[in-house]
Amino acid sequence: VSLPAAAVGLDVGSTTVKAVAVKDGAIAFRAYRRHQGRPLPEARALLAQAWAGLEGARVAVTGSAGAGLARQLGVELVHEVHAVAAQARAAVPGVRTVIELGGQDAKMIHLDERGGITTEMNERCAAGTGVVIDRCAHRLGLPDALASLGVDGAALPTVSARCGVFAETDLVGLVKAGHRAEVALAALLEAIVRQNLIGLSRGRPLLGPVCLLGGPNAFIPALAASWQRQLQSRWRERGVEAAAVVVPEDAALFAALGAVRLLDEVERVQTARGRKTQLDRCAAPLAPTPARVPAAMTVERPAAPDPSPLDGPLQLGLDAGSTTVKAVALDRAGAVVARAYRKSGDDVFADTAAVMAELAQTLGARAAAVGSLGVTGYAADLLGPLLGADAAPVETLAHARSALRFVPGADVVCDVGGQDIKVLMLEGGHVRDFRLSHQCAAGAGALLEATAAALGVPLDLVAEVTSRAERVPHFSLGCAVFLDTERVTAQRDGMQPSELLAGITAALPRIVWENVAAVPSLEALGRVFVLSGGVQRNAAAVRAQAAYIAERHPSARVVVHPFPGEAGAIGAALAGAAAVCERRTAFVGLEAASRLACTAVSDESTRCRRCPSHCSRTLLTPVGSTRTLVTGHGCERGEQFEEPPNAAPPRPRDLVRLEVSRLFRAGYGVKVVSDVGRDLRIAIPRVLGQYRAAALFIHYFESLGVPRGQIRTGEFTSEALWRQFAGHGTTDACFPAKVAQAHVAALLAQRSTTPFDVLFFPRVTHAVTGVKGCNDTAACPVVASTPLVTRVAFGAGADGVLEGGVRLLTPALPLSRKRELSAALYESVRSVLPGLTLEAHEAALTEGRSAQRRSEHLLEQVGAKAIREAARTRHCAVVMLGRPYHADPGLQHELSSTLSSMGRTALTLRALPHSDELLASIGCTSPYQLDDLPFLTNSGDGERVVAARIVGQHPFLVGIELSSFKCGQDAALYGVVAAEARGRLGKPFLALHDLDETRPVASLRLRLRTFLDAVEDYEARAPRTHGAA
Amino acid sequence: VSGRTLLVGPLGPAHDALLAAALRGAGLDAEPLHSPTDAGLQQARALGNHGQCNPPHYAAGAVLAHARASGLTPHDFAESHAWLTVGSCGPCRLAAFPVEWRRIFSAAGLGALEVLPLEQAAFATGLSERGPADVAATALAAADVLETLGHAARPHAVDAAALDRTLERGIAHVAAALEKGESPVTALREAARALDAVPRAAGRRLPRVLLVGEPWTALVPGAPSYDVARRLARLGAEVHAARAIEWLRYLAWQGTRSGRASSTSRTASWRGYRRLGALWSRLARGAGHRERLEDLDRLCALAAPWYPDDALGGSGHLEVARALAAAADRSAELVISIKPFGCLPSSCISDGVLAPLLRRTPGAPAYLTLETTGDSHATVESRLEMALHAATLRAIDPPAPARGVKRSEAWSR
Repeated sequence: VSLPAAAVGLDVGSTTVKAVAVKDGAIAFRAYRRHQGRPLPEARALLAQAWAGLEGARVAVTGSAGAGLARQLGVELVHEVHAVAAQARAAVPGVRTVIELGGQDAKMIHLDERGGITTEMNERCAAGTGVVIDRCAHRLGLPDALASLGVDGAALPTVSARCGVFAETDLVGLVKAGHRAEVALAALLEAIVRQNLIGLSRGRPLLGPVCLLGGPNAFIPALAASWQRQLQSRWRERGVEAAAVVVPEDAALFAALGAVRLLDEVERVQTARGRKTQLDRCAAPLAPTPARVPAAMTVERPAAPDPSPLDGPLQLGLDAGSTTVKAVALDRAGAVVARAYRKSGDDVFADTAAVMAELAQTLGARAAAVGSLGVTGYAADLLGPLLGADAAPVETLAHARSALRFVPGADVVCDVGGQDIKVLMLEGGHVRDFRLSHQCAAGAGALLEATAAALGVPLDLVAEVTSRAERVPHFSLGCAVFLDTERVTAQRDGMQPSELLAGITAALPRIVWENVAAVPSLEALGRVFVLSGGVQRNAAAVRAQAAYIAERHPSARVVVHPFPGEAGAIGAALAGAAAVCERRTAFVGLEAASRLACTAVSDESTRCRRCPSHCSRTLLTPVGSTRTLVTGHGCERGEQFEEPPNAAPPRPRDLVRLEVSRLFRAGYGVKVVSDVGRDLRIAIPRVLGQYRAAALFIHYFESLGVPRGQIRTGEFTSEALWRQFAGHGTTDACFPAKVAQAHVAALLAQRSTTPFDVLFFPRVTHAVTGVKGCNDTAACPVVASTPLVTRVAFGAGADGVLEGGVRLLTPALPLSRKRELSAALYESVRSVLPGLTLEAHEAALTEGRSAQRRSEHLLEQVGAKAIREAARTRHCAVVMLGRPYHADPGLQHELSSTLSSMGRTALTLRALPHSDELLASIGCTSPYQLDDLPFLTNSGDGERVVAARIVGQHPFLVGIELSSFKCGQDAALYGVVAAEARGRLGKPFLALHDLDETRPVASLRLRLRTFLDAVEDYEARAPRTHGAA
Repeated sequence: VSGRTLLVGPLGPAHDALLAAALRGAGLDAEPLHSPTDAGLQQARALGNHGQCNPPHYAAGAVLAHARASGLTPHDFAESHAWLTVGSCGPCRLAAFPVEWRRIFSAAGLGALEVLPLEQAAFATGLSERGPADVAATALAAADVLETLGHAARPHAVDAAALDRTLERGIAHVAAALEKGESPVTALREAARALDAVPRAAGRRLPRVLLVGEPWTALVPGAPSYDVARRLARLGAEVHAARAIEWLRYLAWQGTRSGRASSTSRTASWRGYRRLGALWSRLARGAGHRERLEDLDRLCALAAPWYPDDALGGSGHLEVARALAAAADRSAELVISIKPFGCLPSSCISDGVLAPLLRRTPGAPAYLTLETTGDSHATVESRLEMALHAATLRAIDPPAPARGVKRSEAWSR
């Protein structure tokens, strides 16, 4: 479509306005401006400039915030996707893909040769877009470095970009682990490209030429270079012809220019639909509610005790948190003598040295009299050994201790920090239970801070500003980036900064209590609520919390910690003092601590090679020391830089690894009943339903004469596998389903070295569970349908033959229904083994079943033995209450192995005894008859409840519930499983929901340590005797 | 439920009103439940399980709103009411909605409320000429007919609000007939005539949109579906929306094919299947609407190579089948799949199966997915606008049929 003779185009986006004027078919005027949250006045001003000399020309308006202007001008709004596509076709000959990253949106437009377009865009989350890059660059103190950033992509550490807040958390972690801020930022760009390639391409091949648009692509050369690199490598891997990847001239003006080109077409379409602009009637506005006067609740603010003027040893506490580093010095009575606070920069050692120096200066002569040091926070593991800390309590326990110091009867501690939220339920001075925000900073301080900054409101004025709000927009709960997106939408709709901030602060308590704590009744938690964490310094946040609690629990007492920002450091100091007791402190002294510095090396030489993930690590050497520390490692295998010595102390067995390695191994001595399969070369991906019946399938084929060497079962899930082979099939499902396609891709890619002709990926529709009394034992619909996605994703024809001639078999196999299983398997296998007789098939199936039974029996025996040992040593074993596929180390973030490194035996629920006899041997009665839950139809549901009941019965078993992100199937029973696993003894329980491709190392460790601390606490009070054990 | 008021729904205002009226006609004290809203969703979610998909929360939120509006104390409301509803949103095997409701109602002080979840397949196969279920099925079919007439007329109406008012009067008229125990045919005919009399704009070339997806979300108007059918009509599109009776008929049809079912059960399924078809024909024709219900055997054959009906949760199978039928028949310019966030049966289908299948099919309709979260209505509007622009262009200039390519070839690779 050519440019008209005269027209003006305006693109009103979420952060900028762009205008072009076309005269005699050429661009006569162009302008690009940020609108600072005031799109309409800015757009009108630009229009007036563009319009000069063109009076009478038509105006085209496009852009996500263009509806208001279009309405005012009485013109049609051109959808920005169509506008961009039209301009891309005109500017880049033969263009097939447009990738546009905007302030808050990411789009991929696929243009076909016949003029059609299809678009994929981010839904309601700003992850992978300009706002995340901006926020992260700002966070790392590098807002101006983006234009000149240049780091080799090959040596970059991994960060997550699936969610903007996860990304930010990861970057903070990287920097704290000693990576340079530039490297972290470059890693983010790489991750954003990778994430968009996987998420937005939705499994379709990306064809070139590719046109890169939007501010970030245009202004960050390193981002464009990353697209170039990753696209070329993807094309190479998939045998697609390489093509150009272009950042065109006037890229920022594409939508405005395209809108001008489409003026005629839009008019045609609107006439056909019989409508003039009706957006004002259709767009559902945000429904603001009048500001409510918060219910009356007195917030108590206990006075801090005065420090004693007497000299005496001081108790030092350091909290190296995600966004700030805090240090305190307490006197013997626990009163705060001095404190120091600093926002984290990119060097945690320099930050620590600075707060220590500040403390030393404040203390003056008393600085020499330090009796103990406790450290806590994200970087505690790193700093503790360097500073000679006497204790390094996990943050949760530090906060509990600190709250109890000032509010002895506290029932609940709610700590809202920069990046996370902790809710601790206390009982008798112990942490009875706790909830942590799930890998995500929604509702935490960083959001309020960023919003205030974006609106130009100083943080300490937020309380005053929000009190002026006349309306409070209702923001939905969920991720901080979603919330930010809604905030921008409300801003576009004319909401004032005071109202926006009031909306955000009103959402904070809902996020804390409804998302994180997820308790239906606040009353059940107790009466005394202590608020701590940096956010509580903000009166607006405290007011919102108090109002929320007052409305639901009128008799509650809400107490603000006297030092909300330093609560963690105070708890650490108290723990340090308690640990020292009579002995001397190991603390290196404030003077040495003030000079703390490290050299950090992170390159190929420090990369961990102990598994296929090849995590990047950083090697830290404190100045003046020969000792080295390793950080950034993904799991305990990378903890040591050198090869671990052979004489390493024995660890508890990782029974989960044992389970999966046995499950996929041929070797249960089957009888070969036929040689019909001797020439068959078969691959079985190690995913989903196979974790239920791999032994059956493998031995069935072996019994049909398929040589062991010709049955391939792929690898476990790993970050490396996901990085290299993701991008096929669905992006809408849970990670276990998505990664199944990567497993298939990996098997197909390795065909040249390990050839196979048949890919056996059955749909396991029903399982054998041993649970009785439920309606059915069906598989999850996602698990059962994933092989069908494989068919389409890898281009199978209706006959199931993939490109390259591999035959894909996806029979529906109900394992619990013998006749149907046999019939479906026979029909499917006979299609590749025409000579297979029914007799041979039946005999081989019997062999397979028997091997499966033996594998399960063996596992049970090993499990029972481990449980007996746990009872004997009074040292709890941990049962991972998940789905069978959660045994895959890559799907549970190597949890079993981490537990083993922390001295705990981990087992899955399949290793729990099934028979009455074995159950009796561990002192339990059989819970396999589930008559009280007859409505359950899903195999895994029944299994989890039964396993939780065994855990609940046995005093030396504790449970960790595993569930993958988006698993609606698991979600239904969250509360039931937790209650059963806690049992009558009220044992500790940990829920790890929302597992996905991101491995949240720091938060996982925090959760595990808090949990295991609670387990140790419990072990001390566990019953002395128990049944047969 | 004796002595209790039966709350019915939520399946949408028309379905709830007619079902309640039919039950009153059968001697029960029944009233339609409040419509689900986003505020109700949030309230129920706050009391419930955060990871759960949204249909049980929308439904529970409607009950909470109904209880509040009744003016009774939670205890008195719970003691005096029972709730008749669908036990799950469709085929999903979570079967956990009742557990979730129990949790929410207990937290809200409504623990004593009697919940009567309707087992849909049993309902569909338990139909007979004069059985009690037949009364309910007649009400649902009548509501489907009224909604279908509304969807056909709405995009062409000069004043859509006037059309909706006429439709509401029609619903009340049919409800009155059902309450008296009369056949709804006459009332339906009169409602259809009234809708015909609403002035229509001439000369519009509107794109045709097929709505597929999760049965409950695709069926129920208002917040749970972003009111997508009415929204599309307002934006300028003809909508083929979901019908309750088609889902029930599919369940009965599935029952006829089950290899595990006894012959008695298969016979009952056949009876239900035929009865639902006959009900639709009688009522739709009575209202002057000639459209036949879909040919389920054909749909099954179309989807079989890609998403056979033995895949768990028939809605996924139907989603693929209906979209492929629309492609083969050129009966839609746009297919929209709508589902609640985190919906299991629909999870992999949209982007994993259907989108690539339609991409490789020459002349197939454009395809859009909508995941309902209860938030962000503004982006939904933008996505619909985007899809409708392209769909309208196709409606104005339909792509030429692909020449020289057999269908079998077109479907492979």
